[in-house]
Amino acid sequence: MIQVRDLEVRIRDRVILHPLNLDIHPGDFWLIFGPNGAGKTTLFRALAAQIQPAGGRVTVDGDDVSRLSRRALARKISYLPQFDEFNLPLTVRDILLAGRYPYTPAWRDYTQEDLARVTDTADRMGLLDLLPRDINTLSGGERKKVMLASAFVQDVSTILLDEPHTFLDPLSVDRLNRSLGRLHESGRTLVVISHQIETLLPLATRMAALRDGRLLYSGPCRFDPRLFETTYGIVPAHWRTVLRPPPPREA
Amino acid sequence: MNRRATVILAVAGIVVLALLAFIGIVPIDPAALFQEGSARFIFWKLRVPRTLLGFLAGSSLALAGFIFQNLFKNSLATPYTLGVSSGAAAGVVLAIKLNLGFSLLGSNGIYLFGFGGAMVSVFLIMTIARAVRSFSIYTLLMTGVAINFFFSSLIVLVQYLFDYTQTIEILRWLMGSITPSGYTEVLVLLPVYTVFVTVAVLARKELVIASAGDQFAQAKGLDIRRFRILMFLVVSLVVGTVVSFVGPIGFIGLIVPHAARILNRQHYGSALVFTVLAGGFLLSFTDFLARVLIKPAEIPVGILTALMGAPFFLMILIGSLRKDRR
Repeated sequence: MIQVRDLEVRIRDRVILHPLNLDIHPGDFWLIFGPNGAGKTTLFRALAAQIQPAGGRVTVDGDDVSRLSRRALARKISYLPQFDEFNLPLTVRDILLAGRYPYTPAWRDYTQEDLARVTDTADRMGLLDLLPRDINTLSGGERKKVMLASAFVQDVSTILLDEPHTFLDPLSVDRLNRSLGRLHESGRTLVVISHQIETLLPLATRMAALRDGRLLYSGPCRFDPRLFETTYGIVPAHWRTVLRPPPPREA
Repeated sequence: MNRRATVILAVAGIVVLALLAFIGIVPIDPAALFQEGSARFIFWKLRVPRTLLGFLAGSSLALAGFIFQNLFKNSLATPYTLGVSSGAAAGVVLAIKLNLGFSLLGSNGIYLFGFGGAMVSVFLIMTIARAVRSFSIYTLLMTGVAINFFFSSLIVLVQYLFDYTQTIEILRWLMGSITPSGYTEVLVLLPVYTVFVTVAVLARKELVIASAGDQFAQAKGLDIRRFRILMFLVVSLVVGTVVSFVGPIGFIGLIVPHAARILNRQHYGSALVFTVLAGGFLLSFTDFLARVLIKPAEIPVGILTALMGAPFFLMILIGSLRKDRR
């Protein structure tokens, strides 16, 4: 379980996240949404102990994330950042094997078991042919799949995905969502930042809305055009009918 | 490159280097190696240590470049990017100015000052990074660039202000040359090199992860900050030692790891092995050319590495760009 208590993040003197609380229970599927610059990625980076909060704390199973070693944290949480830019050539196998890093002692090489696990995961996700390929030569959709596979290999209970749907066509979005659904069914905790609200609503169990570094809502996942409007300042055209009752019919 | 190709490269390299040691201003008859005389002296006391030092220096510089390119996620990084060599150069310039070419504490004064200068660079970078509490790629690279410029200007200033003969000596050192005095340099560098290669092999999974960027590395459980500091210190110690012996020989640390990556795109381990072997062979071979091309004079090897390295590098680059057009 991940507990966020009075978490506040500042960069220099600017408040990026105002103190907020959040409880992520095992098996939850969280949808986090909000406009650009709302602090969603900052929240993730705080959960993954990649930034030092100005106040409050984040605990995973009772342990403060800032006190856990990187390896120990990587055995519990897998964080998939929004941008995965690789300058140097790296094979898909290298990326997937990195998922076994938290379990491999320093100065030791990966075991045969790790290699088998990578091959097995790649096989299940239809990535077997891509294993020897350079990640830089893959399409956006293929890359997302590889990153998701690396989280599988990492064998964690909680996965944080930062806008996994960007650059994906509708079919790829659908495929990714199916993968997320299967991950959730397998008992993992998912926290997903996305603007793909409509497609994720049927899958997610909880949701949180952020705007200007403030948590506007956190709770059960539900279709709520009004919350959507306060969060983004706009709603999709086909949702407006729900917001405003239709004008009375003329007799 | 598979295992067989690696073995062929290793064996061919050793055979070629051994044969080249017989060629030079004084050609050596193999039979003379076992008789008293100048041929035996030239071969065992001059050519062999020179070939060995060339190999160790080239291999170290290439490996240093390979590690820095991964560590800084940048294929243009070289062992000198962080100002370690210009620090060493400033140290050497100081030694020449102060006439410390003679023996100092049983070692050559120039070497000690070179190494000391390199460590001053390291100290400055560490101090600045600590002061701003950031060991990010950006902090290290930018600090390194500034230190590079500072020391380079300092060297030019000293050259401008002082004696002409000393300026020639400084210039000569800056061009880089492999002129060991017997086996001393080899015996000092060998243990340093052995530790360096061992560290690079043991840390190869960390280097792979580091090359994917800080966020990825942290998400996979690597303490990237600590790893970067550790590798920076190890590489700097090695580069400081190498540069104080042979001068700031350029290009090897840039082109060899790059070629290794292009040729071994599929496999990281073999790219590392290729870097270590090719770096050593290339510098030794170039040094052979440096001593025979205009004999009885010699060309400073640093000039040749850049002169030959640049077109060779372009060839590999164009070849790889043609192949996958990405």
